[in-house]
This record gives sequence, C-alpha cells and structure tokens, in this order.
Amino acid sequence: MQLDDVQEGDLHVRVPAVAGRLTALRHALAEWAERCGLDAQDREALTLASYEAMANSVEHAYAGQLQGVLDLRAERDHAERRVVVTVTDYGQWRAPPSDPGTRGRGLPLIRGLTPDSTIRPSPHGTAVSMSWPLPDR
Amino acid sequence: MTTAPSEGATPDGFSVRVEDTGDTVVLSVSGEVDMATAPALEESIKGALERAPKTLVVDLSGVGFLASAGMSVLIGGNQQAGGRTQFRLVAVGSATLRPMELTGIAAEFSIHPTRDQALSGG
Repeated sequence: MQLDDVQEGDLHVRVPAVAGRLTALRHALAEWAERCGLDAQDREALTLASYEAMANSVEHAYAGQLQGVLDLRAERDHAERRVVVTVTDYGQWRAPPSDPGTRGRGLPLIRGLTPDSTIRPSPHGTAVSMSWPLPDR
Repeated sequence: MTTAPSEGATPDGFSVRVEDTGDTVVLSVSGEVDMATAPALEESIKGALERAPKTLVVDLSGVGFLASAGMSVLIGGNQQAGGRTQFRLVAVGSATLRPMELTGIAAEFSIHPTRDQALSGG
C-alpha cells in the first residue's frame, strides 16, 4: 500500500478492494482526522462513514468481476473550511434493495454520519464524497 | 511517499468472552467489529443460541468500533433468538449506540446501558 501526498497533509491511497485492507486504512484515516483537528465525534463519524463507503465498494462494486481497486482520498478544503473524504471504485453500482433484510445499512449510516454526502454512480464506477467542517482555529 | 501500516492487519485485540450460567449466556465483545471480525462474532452468537439459554446478553461495552457488518450480525442473532431466547444488548456511547440509532435499528433491540441492567431486564 502506498500513501501519495497529493497536497501537503492530504491522503491518497489506492488499494485492492478487499476487506482485509480496510482496517489499516481506517486507522490511517482516524490519525489523519486527528491531525486535521477534528473533534472526537467528527473523527468517529468520519472514520465509520468512510469505512462503510469502502465496505460498499468491496462488497458490491466488483461482484462477479475481476478484483478491482478503490481510491481513498482525504483532503482539506481550506477555502470551504472542511475536510472531504472521497471513496471511488470502478465497478458496477448496485442500488440498495427495497427490503435490505439484515444488511444494507451502509448508505443510511453514511447519510446519518455526515452533514453532506454525495453519491455519484456512473457506468464506470461510483464515487462517494463526504465532508465535515474543520474546526475554527 | 510513506509506508502505510502493515497489510492485512487484523483489528487489535478482537475477542469474545463467553460466560454460561445455564439460563443465561453473556458474550463480552472487545475490540473492533467490522467486516473482518463480524464473522467471528456471528459464530459466537450462533454457538450461544444453540445452547438455548433463556437470555443471551451481548455486551458491547468493550467495542470501540461497530460497522454495519457487525450490525447485520446482531440483527441476525436477534431474529434467530426468536421467542425462545431473550436477546439483549449492552451498548452505550458513540461507538456502538450512535450508529445503531442512526440506522434506526436500535428500536429493534432490547438495549441496556450496563450489564447488570441487561441481566435483570431493567
């Protein structure tokens, strides 16, 4: 796994979309959120919501296909005073079933954990963006 | 460019302790419940329900992270318990109770702030 510094202090990681990779990514995100100065509740929300977005890619995006990758970007948007986490995969978007049974709580959880989320499905993959406000200095 | 934490790392210290007093089984879960560890929790819950106790308490006080994969396991356990075993959770705080409230599944469970309250059903 490689972490490429896109902009000083930001995170960009591309990994195979497999469950075993997500734990380390989550821990890296939690540390990053702390460095950004987010409070405990927002750090927890960011970590869980990002995990759910990555879990969605692992579970659904590449079903029945060759194993793909996912991109995780965590960036500070100083102009808007916020942090933005984007999870992108290049597989097939699958709409949640109307009756999710015991599963399918990832998207509701993401929506509940971030004040601002955008899900952009396309024929070439899905990008989930979530943001949280940066604290005032 | 820096090197990230080791690949495929398992979550730190995930464990399930089982206490069986006959009528009651208590599962004390510690660590992080995510896609990687949820199957182990599922096995523990299944194993406990096979003993057909009157009450099964799943104590999540020691859980610092609960993903939807873990919630699915809890929902499945609650359904599997049916009318035969009372399925109760111990959960407080932002790591476990909040995600269950945000998804609306908290209402499906009997949730208690302490293990004693879960055991007495209060």
